[in-house]
Amino acid sequence: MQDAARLESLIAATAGGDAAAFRQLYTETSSHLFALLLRMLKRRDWAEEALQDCLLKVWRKSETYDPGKGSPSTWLFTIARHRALDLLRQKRPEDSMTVTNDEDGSSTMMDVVDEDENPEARAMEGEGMGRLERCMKGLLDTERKSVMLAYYEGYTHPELASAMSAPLGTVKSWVRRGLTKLRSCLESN
Amino acid sequence: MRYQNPEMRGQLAAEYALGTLRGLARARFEKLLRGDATLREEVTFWHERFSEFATRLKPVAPRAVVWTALERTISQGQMTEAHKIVPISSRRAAAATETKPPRALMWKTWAAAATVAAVAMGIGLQREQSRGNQLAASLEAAQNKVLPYVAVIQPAGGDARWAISLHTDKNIMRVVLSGTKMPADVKARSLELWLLDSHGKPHSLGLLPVTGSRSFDMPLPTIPAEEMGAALTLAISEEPRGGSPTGLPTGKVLGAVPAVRPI
Repeated sequence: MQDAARLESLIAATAGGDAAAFRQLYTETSSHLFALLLRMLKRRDWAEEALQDCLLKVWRKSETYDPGKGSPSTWLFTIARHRALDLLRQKRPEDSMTVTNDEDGSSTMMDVVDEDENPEARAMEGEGMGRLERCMKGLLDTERKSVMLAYYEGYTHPELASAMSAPLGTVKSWVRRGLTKLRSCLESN
Repeated sequence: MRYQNPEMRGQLAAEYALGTLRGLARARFEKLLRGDATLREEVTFWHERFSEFATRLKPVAPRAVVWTALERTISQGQMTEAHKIVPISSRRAAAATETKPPRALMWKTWAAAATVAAVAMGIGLQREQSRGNQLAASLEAAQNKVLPYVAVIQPAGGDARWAISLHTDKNIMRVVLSGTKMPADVKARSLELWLLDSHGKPHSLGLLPVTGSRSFDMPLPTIPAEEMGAALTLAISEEPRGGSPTGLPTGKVLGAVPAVRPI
């Protein structure tokens, strides 16, 4: 995404009713937001629906953005991610890994852990390594994978248990311990 | 839930941001967040850190239809608000509580939408004044009505037919499906509709419905005036589920037909 100052100014102009600024904001951020939505929702039509909802919210709520409470890209990603989680909740039954295809009524299995293209590998696509990734390296494999799958796939605890073939209680403790280690590492970095 | 336990609060904030806190627990936590600034700071901390995951993904451009649909939704919202007729006292009350400045209608399309609305309101006033004028206004409106481009596509290999009308004045495409035998395996593939411009370049109009017999309204991108001759060309291609990943047809073209304006 563009630098924070530029995004902040575009959001501020959008809040002031400048539609050209909103269009520019869309141009500069939509491909990043769409990448996240597509990654989480898998289906292009769902991701497009979520992107539209997300940008509509940005248009309507742009005046609520407070630069003192977080970066503009985080604000945008958070809106997108919340929308994706809402859609997953509606469209993917939480107690099952099976989703119903709304176009033809058939069911397809969600792809879960793919060894050839796992979320960790995808997470390394960018250049360099940030603080979070450095800290992720300090987690056990199971803890790291649980956090990654929860973030990128929007998995619930039961879904994680199913994807990782582990008891629910075990998965919950992997997530909990992973997050505790991350918190401690992020504070000290 | 022990919301006062610092360790528990930290854990809930992290799981909320990660997305694993769901259902009632999530709703309870959101309620708690509204009145707890320290907890909000903790959630923000995690959102900031986790956004690093999102920035590592390779950007993917969405199709142009997303912007068109967004623009249309917003312009409809503007029109709805503009049409609300409320007593002056209510307007003052609304203005007193309104924290957001009114939006300026800056986009050309929105301005056009507002013009349409103004014309419609104008017609409405004439109705109030005279039934004779109403008739004249209706006739004038009918004469000025922009007719849609229409086409029927029935690719070989099935009995499915799509009757498509492109309402270029309203940026709407109406699709009516009949027949049930599809020309491709629609469980594995999507059928994407394209508009070919005068240079033969395809522009995606969206995915065609493959079940149901009702009419489907879909957003239609703005077609440049210079492209709107007597006929347009539409084509259907077979694509990976969810549509072409490149924005251009990648699979077999199942058929192409002219869409014409009825005279």
